[in-house]
Amino acid sequence: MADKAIFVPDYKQLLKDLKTLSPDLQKDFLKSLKRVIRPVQRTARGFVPGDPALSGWRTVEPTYTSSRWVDDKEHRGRASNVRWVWDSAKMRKGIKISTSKSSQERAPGGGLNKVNAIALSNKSVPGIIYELAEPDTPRKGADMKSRNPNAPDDFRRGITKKGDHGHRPRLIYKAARIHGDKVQDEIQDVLDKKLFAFVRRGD
Amino acid sequence: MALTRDVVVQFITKLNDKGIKSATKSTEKFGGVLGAISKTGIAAYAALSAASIKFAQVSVKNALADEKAQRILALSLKNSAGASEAVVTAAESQIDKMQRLTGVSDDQLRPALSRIVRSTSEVTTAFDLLDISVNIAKATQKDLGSVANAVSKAVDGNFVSLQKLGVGLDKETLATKDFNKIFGELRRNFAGFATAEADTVEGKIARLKVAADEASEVIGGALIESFTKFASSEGGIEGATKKMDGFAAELSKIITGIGELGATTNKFVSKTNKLLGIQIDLYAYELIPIVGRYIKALRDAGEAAQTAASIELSNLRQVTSARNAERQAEVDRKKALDDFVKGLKAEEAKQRAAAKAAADRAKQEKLAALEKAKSQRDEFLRKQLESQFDTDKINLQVALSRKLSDEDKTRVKALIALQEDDVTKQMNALEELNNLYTAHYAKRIEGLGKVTAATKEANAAAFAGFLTPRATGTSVADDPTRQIPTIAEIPNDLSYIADFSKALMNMTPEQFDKFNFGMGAGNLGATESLASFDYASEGMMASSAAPNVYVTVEGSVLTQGQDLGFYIANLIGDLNRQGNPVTLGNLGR
Repeated sequence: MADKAIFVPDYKQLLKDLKTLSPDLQKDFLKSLKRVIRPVQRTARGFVPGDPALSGWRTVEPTYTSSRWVDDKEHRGRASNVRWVWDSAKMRKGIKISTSKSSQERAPGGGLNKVNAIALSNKSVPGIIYELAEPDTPRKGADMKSRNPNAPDDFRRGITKKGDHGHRPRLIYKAARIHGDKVQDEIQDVLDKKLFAFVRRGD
Repeated sequence: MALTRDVVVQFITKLNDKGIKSATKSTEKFGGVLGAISKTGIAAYAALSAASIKFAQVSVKNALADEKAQRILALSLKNSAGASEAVVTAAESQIDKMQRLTGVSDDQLRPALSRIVRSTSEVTTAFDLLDISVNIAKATQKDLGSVANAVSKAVDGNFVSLQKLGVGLDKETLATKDFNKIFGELRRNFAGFATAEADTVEGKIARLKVAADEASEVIGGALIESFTKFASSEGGIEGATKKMDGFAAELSKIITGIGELGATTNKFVSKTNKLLGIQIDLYAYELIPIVGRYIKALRDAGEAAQTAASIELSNLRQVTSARNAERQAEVDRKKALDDFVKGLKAEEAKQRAAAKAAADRAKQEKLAALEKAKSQRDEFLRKQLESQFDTDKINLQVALSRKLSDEDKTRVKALIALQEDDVTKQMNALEELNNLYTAHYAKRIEGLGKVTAATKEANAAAFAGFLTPRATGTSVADDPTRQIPTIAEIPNDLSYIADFSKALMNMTPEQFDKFNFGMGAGNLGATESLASFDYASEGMMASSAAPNVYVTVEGSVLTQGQDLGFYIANLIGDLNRQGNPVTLGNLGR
């Protein structure tokens, strides 16, 4: 897998120019790029297990019978009472090809001014948890609210021990490691073939 | 491809506008840092070595202001007067001379010249007016900027401000608005004021101050250069900022030390001069033992650094020029792309307009066709309706339903065909009429043949005994059988003629009909064709061949022996072909 993504400095202008020349040309260009990335997406989706990675990872929302549990809003997430249930279909569906939407994210190692243009993203929360869970994952954000103080570590240790899940990466990063170089070459090929010399600018 | 806060594998990245804004903010922040450095630096200098640091501060400020004023003037000259680089350099040189001559600093001269050149759009005239302005300013003790502004307004045509300066111009002169006259008078009135002022004590001090300022600017420029180098060597502005305090302290000590060294050197030189009775220049420091070498080394290092800086500046200018060319090429390329896109759009618009025009035409044609079809349908319906109330047609149909002869029936059909405007029916009707007339005339001709025969028979019967028919082909004179009666033989009694008349009168109608060529009783006026008569029997023709007899029918010629019925049928056909259809009127009915 290549270490860095291909940087097209004036990608936005490129798309604009392509659209100006012909809307079909722009669509064709984006379609070609997506077509190249689609095998990675399929592979990543294939890595999503059918059964929960942990025996206790619920597949349905729990029904709270005790009033103590019903009224307890503290331990069920910070924003809502949503529990991140295991849903393989949702996890597969959450692996998407993103085109220039996550423009606020900085590309690591690429300097201040590089953001995503074409990317494969893992959008579903259970998918992200499964993708990244690892014992040494540093915790960020709000304080842990679980009644079990060791819950995060138990969860991370458990997922690494369970079956064939092994260590991270498990979904899109794993697929990218398998297909990365080939995909990068093909993307470069698309850029070379699809773009005119006057709209292409080297990285 | 690596981890981000979003779980994303990046394949293509692009430039973020937000990053550009960040960069802009960083630049602004950088400007703030510079300001902070300047404040920090100046404060440090002031605290450590008031005089030397103050001098350095003023020098830097002067150098910056001078560079800015030069830049503005150059831009004004280029924009307003279209001056080249050479002209700008010459103008700078001229300003330098002027300031040294008049004691008016370039900080005043440059803005004044910029203002004037905006009005004159010409450099030589601008310098001339600047000279007048300086003289007026010196004479009236007014600010050069105000004077230059008033002069510029006068160049623009507004002489009121010039009058307000109090330069002694009368109203009549100003009312003429004659530029040459007004400024000629000003030149005469204020000539030499600046030069004269420069020779006074105050003027000399001013000139000295100008020279000092210039030196200060030069030193300030060198300090800026040194500071830039220092900042670069310390890893940028931030690094330089951190070390500024220490740098300032050390620098102040060095400057103080240089001052001490200068004083010592001066004492040394003075003592040496007195001792040796010779005059050694202060700058012959290399003659000073040991210290002189260091000073010389320091001086040489400074000169080398200035040379290197000059080379670096030259290289920087080349790089800047190359970058500018590259940027220009980029701008040109974008412009070419824009033009190309514009061309494409124009072509597309043209094609769209053509397609729209074609669609409009097709629509109009379709509408016209529909309108025509509608009109035809309406016409058909109208005709259908009219036919319901066409009395002529109804009458003809009624007549046709009655019992008519074949001839009348044919004629009625022909009329119906004419009314219906049906060519096929008309042709059929015409053919039937032709057949009808052909049959009719054939019958008539057959009847004529019978008349001829009956006439001959009647003649033979009626004129028996009166005339002896002569043999065919013989003349009366040559007829040997002809008996010429003598006078004596002519009967005296011609009563036989009366008897002939009497015989005619006594004839029965049938006998008379025979006698009258079958024309009926009492129809003596009706005669048959002369061709039916045998002239030979009358002995009127000398030759044996029967002569042709021509009968004119409606301007045509019918020769003897032609079939009259056939002729008439042809005649009707000709009339029809000529566009004169046979009608009952044409046929005399």
